[in-house]
Amino acid sequence: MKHKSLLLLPILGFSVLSGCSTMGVNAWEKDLLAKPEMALDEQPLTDALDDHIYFSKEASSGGRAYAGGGCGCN
Amino acid sequence: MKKNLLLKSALATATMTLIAGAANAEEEQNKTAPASKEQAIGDWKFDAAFLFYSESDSRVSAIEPVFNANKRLDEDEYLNLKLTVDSLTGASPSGAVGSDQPLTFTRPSGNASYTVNANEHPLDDTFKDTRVALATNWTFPVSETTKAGLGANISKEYDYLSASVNGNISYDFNNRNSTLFAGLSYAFDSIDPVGGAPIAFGRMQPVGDPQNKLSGSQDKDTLDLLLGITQVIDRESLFQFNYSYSMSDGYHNDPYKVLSVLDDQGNYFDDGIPVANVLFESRPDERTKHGLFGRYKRFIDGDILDASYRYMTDDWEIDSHTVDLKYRFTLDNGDYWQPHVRYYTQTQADFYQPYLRQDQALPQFASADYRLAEYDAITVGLEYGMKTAAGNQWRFSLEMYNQTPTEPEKYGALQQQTLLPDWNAVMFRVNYSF
Amino acid sequence: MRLKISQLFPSLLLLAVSSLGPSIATASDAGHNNDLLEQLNLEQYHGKVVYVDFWASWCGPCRQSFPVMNELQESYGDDNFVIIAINEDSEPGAAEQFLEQYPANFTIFYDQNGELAKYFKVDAMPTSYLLDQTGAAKYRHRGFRQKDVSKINNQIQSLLATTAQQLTSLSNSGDTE
Repeated sequence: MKHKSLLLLPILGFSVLSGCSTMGVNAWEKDLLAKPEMALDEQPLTDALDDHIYFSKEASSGGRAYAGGGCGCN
Repeated sequence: MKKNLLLKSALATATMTLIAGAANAEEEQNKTAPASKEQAIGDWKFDAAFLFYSESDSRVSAIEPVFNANKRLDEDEYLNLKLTVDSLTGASPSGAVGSDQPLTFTRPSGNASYTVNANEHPLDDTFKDTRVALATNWTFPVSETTKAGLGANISKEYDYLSASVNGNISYDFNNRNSTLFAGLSYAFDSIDPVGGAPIAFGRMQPVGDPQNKLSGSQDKDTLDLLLGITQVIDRESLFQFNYSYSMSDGYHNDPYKVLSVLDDQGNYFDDGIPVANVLFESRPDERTKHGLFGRYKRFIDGDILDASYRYMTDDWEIDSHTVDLKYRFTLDNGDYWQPHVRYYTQTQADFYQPYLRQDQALPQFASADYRLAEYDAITVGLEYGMKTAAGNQWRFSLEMYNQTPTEPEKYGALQQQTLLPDWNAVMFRVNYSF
Repeated sequence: MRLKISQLFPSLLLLAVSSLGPSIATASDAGHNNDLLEQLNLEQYHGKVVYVDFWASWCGPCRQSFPVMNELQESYGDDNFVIIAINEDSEPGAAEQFLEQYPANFTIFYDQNGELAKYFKVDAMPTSYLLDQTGAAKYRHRGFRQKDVSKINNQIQSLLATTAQQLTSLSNSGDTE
């Protein structure tokens, strides 16, 4: 029953994608997003250590990724 | 127990002194935050971290040093190498239930045994092991808007080997406000348990008797897929949404975990064999997981909010929710305090059973591993970050993890025992980037 | 009758810039940002090759571009070449901090609210335009990479060279005053 709701995913995916084209900032307005603290992968070692602890002690793992954000330079 | 409390308070004092000392040194330096160091082409950037982990009630303790080296090969090309060592000691619940009589269990090797006192929660302390892992990653540009990455990992401990490869690609569009990400990884795990892998539901045998274990290693293949989108919302914020899929095939058992066989009074069923009546667990040989993950990061007047939510579901009937919240209070000189709260809850696996009953048919699969039970867990922590004048970053973090399982239904003598005790752990971490 | 180029200049620039690639601005934009554009006064560089660079203190590749721009200034500065680096920092003081670390031997112009960036349809940071001696934008570079430096040098040299011919051909085209 719950797996059927996963079919919502492609629908959600497409609406997210089409909505995405209306959001965002100009290239010269990325000053705050360019800060290292605003990066999604600011602390990869800490994230890996946490993931390892929770993988060892809990039944769920993963789900995270790091692409995007930042200054968008080059 | 007392020793643990002393250790915890000693740690807390040490951390506070360290932080206070660092903070005092800070006041003498100028008030503006040191600039971030630039990694020019050919430059190496290093990160070192050290984790100390300690559970309550003489359970597991671990130390885990990590060293990461990143080299900028070209404009947008990087090579990353990471070495992790993790050394574990202590005892872990074996899955057996307590009794009002002392219990004797045979160690995995089959050459020795250990005794658990009456009314104690059975823990197996055979757990001393050191693991070494090496991860390598190469990221490179494919086009002006596309980046790719390739990686390989290998991890080895006494009885376990894991090797994996991964690849990913990311594509920027919408004026680099949106990024699509796809990642694929394949892992091969091989376990050669101490004493051999037990036969599924094999009965634990006394020292000296044939142990009913298989020879040779047991393997597992895992395929992971992740699809994600990262989207800039406005000048201060962005969000990320990921879907993950995982399929594993092969040996999923924990070869050291057992289930107690009880009579209709809730006592261990006496079958004449002079070692506790426990059967080695048996899990399905396939597992499929789906995950949905969302993350939101926002710059708020110098502070930063980082919030994420993950929903995970699998065909073992385990559903989980994870909510993670971090809020960084940035000080004028660039240092920060960052409180952290994480809430986790999971439902039990459909084959989770805290014990077996002699008078009931053996199920197809069963495990009494507390990690597959139903529980909530909370992590509360505080991190302090500071940059040296040279631009190197220190981080200190102290966290407490508390797991509160739902106590299963008990009957008869079992009602005097705690099957799934609450437990907690202290985690102290130091990071240094230079 | 020869039209005064300075009257057509903003529209010519807009046309030249939009012809370089995908763009979203319309002709109506040309009217709104005239004050900063007038301050910038690109017409004063008529007869020179102009390197217009949009940069910000938070832009990583800009740190590599500044020493290179200093070198370009040194190589071609005596040769009818001028660099104008337009700063896009909205936070006051950020540009100054950057310039202390990466000093510039060329003109810095401040576009704190991004008006010029919007006008020039900047869609990557940094972005540089090379204008020929009539002020038309001939080349655009999105981002900054070390491997583009030789190409930039070639482009500047070709723009410096062609002008002599252009001026000659204009005067020979038969225009009458």
